[in-house]
Amino acid sequence: MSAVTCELCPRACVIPEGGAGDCRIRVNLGGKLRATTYGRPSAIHIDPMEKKPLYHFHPGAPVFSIATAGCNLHCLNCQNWQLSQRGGEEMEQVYRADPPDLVKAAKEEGCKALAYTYSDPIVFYEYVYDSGELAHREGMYNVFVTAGYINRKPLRRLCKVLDASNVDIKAFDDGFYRRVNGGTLQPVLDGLVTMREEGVWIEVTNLLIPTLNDDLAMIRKMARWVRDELGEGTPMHFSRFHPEYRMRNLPPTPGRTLDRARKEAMDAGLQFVYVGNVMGHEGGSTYCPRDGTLLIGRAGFWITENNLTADGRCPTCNEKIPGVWT
Amino acid sequence: MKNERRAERGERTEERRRFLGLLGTVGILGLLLPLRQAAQRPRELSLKEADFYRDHDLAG
Repeated sequence: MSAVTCELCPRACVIPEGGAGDCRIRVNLGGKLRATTYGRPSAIHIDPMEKKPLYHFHPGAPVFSIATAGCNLHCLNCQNWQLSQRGGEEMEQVYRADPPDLVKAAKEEGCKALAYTYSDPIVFYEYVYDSGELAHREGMYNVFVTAGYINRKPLRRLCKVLDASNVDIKAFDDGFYRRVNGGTLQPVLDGLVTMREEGVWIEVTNLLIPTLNDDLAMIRKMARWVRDELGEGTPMHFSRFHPEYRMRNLPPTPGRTLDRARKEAMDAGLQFVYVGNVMGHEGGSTYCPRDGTLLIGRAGFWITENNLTADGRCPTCNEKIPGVWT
Repeated sequence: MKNERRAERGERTEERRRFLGLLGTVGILGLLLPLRQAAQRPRELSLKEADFYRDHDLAG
């Protein structure tokens, strides 16, 4: 009986015949590596682009969003643990949806983008790749919402079909990754650089958990890294934590913590820093970095006004705003 | 003599009963386990059965 090594993510699981990797869905069947959830998503929803969150990529567009079971991280605070911390056979229901079915359904619903999201789409890599390739052929976009814990080689290949990605940096601290997420930081940073090199539009999210990763010095370090490696125009989202899964002992992130993090990141030179999971916060809108004009007003995931010019410039000072607007 | 034969017959009957009981248990388990597995398997739906606009609280 031959074991196989999964080279998709830094875990490098050695999977015995009939066994599964750490993600629960990548299995060894007869000496071949297979993802059991290929063509079997467990969640399908149409969301606004802002929910991913992507604020500088086709604002307001509806996105056909899918996920299968499984994840290669095991975050104690996972908000989608019922999906991510299960194998495909443990789900109550799955949809039969091969890539052509997904693309057809998305088109019928008027969506120009597919999002691979909710759990970590890294683990259903082949399904993303095939669906993404087909979506591109049909003139659609592909959005990848991920924690970025993937090896560079498969990521570089996947980037050929990706247009935008929101990548979670859980904390700018390897110890946090090991304790809270069951991963490590460096592969995530390497992945972000790879995406930038491959021309994928990137936005970064950091969920702030009280007392665990809300240290301002660490936030400053992270913001500087994003500025230097990804560019000052890279949107950064600070999200509010809600007690979930195995981390119910901590309170939701206080508003002032989010405000301080936002200020710290802006002081570090990032031009577009947002506050997420807080309804009606001014940090949910986009402002011109040169003259402060309100460019896109948002209430939660909904756009209240869009003052950008057709070619993505500030209507007052003509500053070009980084993003993919049309 | 009569009593010994009766005792032997009784033992054989008891052994047969035990064997049949064991066979029955294995048979019932053999029937129930696949049923349980089938019940645990996720329900497969077609995309036509999906409500894409249903409210949900999944992050991302």
